[in-house]
Amino acid sequence: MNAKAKKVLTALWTYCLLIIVAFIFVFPCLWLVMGSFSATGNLYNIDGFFDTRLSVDAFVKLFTDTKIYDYPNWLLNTFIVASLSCILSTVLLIGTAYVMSYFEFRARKPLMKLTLVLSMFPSFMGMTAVYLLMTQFNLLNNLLGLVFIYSCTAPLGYLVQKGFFDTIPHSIYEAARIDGATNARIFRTITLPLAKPMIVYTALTSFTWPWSDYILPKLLLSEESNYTVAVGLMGLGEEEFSRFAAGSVFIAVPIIVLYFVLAKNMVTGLTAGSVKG
Amino acid sequence: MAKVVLSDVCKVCGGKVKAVKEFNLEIKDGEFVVLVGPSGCGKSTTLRMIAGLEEITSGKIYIGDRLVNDLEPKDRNIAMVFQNYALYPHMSVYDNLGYSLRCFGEKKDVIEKKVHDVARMLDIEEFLERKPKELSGGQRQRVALGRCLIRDPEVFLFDEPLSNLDAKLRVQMRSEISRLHQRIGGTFVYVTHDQTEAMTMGDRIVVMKDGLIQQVDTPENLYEHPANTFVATFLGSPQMNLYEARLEGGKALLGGEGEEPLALDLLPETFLKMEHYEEGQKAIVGIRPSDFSLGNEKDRDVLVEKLDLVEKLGNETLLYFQLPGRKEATLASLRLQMSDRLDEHPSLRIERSHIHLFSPKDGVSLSRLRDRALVPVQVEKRGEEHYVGGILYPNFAERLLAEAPKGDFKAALSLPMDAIHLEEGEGSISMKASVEAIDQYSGYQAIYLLLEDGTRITMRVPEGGPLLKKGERRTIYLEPAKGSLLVDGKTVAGSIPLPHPLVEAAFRMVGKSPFLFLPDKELARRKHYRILAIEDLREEGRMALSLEDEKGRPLGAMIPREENLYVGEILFAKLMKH
Repeated sequence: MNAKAKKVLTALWTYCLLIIVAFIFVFPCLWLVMGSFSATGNLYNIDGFFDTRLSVDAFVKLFTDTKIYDYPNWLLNTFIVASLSCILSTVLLIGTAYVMSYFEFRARKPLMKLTLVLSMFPSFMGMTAVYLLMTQFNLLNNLLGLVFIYSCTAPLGYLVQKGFFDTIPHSIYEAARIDGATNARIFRTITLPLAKPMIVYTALTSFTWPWSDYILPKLLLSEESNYTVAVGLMGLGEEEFSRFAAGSVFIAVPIIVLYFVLAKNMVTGLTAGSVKG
Repeated sequence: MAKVVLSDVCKVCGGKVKAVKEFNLEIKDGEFVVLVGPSGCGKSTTLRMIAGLEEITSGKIYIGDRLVNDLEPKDRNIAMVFQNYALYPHMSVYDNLGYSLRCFGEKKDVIEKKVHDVARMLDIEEFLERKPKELSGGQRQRVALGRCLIRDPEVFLFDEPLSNLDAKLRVQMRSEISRLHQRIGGTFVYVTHDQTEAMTMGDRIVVMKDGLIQQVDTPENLYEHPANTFVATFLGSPQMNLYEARLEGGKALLGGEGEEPLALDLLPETFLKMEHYEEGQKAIVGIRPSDFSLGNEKDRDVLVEKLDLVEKLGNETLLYFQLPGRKEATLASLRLQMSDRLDEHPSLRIERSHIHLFSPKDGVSLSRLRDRALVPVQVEKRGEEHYVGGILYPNFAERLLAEAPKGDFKAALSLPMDAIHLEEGEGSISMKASVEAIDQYSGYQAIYLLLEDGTRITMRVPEGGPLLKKGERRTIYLEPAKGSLLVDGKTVAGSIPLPHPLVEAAFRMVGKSPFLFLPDKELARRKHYRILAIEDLREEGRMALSLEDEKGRPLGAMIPREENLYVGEILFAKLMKH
């Protein structure tokens, strides 16, 4: 076999493998999207997924037939939780990462080790504790309880953001200190503008987690009026598959739009030109 | 503008690594001082300590008359140019320049005027709207300079600002910074590892190695009169040739063991200027490559048997060869034109007055122009007081470091240079001396004196002082109060008063903690001692410590000499086991 044929064969194998892997990943999404436009909406029939008759009835029903399943209310609840958590988590997480990267203090290394160990425990291990804590705080069945948990656990994952802050040359901070800036001013006028891509990334991840989380809302929310979309959709009956699919597709749209809108802000390289080179 | 004073400044990094040791320097108002040395010598750390970016472990730093040890960088009225420019990448040049003024709450119109003034001065006005990444290296460096200038600080600090520029730009920026200094007349402290930058830019250069100052002087003095082999080889390019030699019969014999030595005639004055001379003593002879010149058959010091390499650089020609009987390569730099022909075996002359002699033991220059002079004196005891040459020697009891002879005794008075004068002062003793030799240094004259009792000492006469002539007899005045007293080479009374009781103690690190081992149970029971002052008797291999315990009770201790102690350090007490 000559070199060219070998190259073609290798490429062929690689593409085949990639197509199979891509299909495995894309198929459920495709299934869901097709299901949402299905007229029959049957979970146990191939027609339910690849229906010959397409309709947008499921989407219309989501917002009109709200007597039993109040999708708009779930959507609003999800939006409130996700937005508040996003703002609080981003502030806390960026602040934590900045402190861990910029300041030298005695407890820094022990704290870093502790947070690393803590973040290794699966989150569901703390379920009982979280439930009891929320009971004590009287935040059970309250959207603020969810916001509280999402925001408070977010700073534990500060390592990525700290890694970013570590790449900002220390001499820039030192120059600012000599120029007369206080720590708060340095954070506001130097660090934050330089960390824009990281803030966008952090905000996005802090938004998507509560937006699509199921376990915590299921644990803490019992009243249907407080349900988030994920919990609400799981309560739909088997015959409501197309409505379930439509609800799932609809909730994915804002995230996709957000990603596309903010992607250009996530580019790195803002520090170019500050130091040598 | 302001002077900068560093007094006994130490920096200990990560427990026990001493980055900077006992740094003492006074930078005059408007002076351009360059700190130079190899990587890791502590020069940048020293600069960062002046800036306030690095805490000092002990000592004091003054800017103007203010003690700035605990002041934030912004309150020190300094500005700094960093090695990597450290511009704010997200701001325009305009905002970069105006940032500090905004931090200090200046009004918008004032900021605008100042930014434009500075930009015009540095020729960057057309780039004001650009971001740093849109500028070239030289332009960025100018913005960094502008950021310093705009605040009109008292002291400008430069941390290797040119090391990221290419060779051509470096030369250009070098002269720009020098011109800037002449123009604004500020106090500049400049750190570099590049000896050319140091030699061309500084009014004075501080040469550092391993956290210690090796020599502080003008570029001319450092080049002409290096204090040790490190300074001699670090400054000057190509670097100085060093040879082991014996001094005999007015000559330096540069020969290896069992080899026929090459004999270099030394000037008679060379021996007069030496602190100590013994026939046959060993020395390191230093000859700069530029002190070689072409000779002829009749007038030559060296006949080159074999040339290893000849490099023609245009304005100079470098010869690599071995001196007869020497294995190490010798480098000579001759002022020859490209077209000049060179013999296969050239005859070379060596400039005698430029031959340097160093001690083979520690590499220190054998010249007796030292920081201290030793003068034999008679110490008289009158009642409880002691007198030197009829003048009261104050605090004798508090200065005692060892048992002094009873009654009157002979001693050597060890004096710093600033305690020897040509004019009479209060509490000074007079002595007759004749001038043996004079060396012209930039800023002062070094006068080599012969006292009536045959003692040789050296003194410095600053520029503008009385002009002395060789052979002239003068009366000189010494201040005994500033000196210490030595008997048989051992310091009996130190130059500073020490608290009593004065005990013989020992110092040792136990794990990572410094411990002082004391002979007395009661003293060892105390928690810890803080070092208030150190008298380093380097040549005697011991040092005296002035200490106070946790309750402020004083104690003096003599310990074997220890490099790593510093003023302010806490030592834990332990009982010494015999």
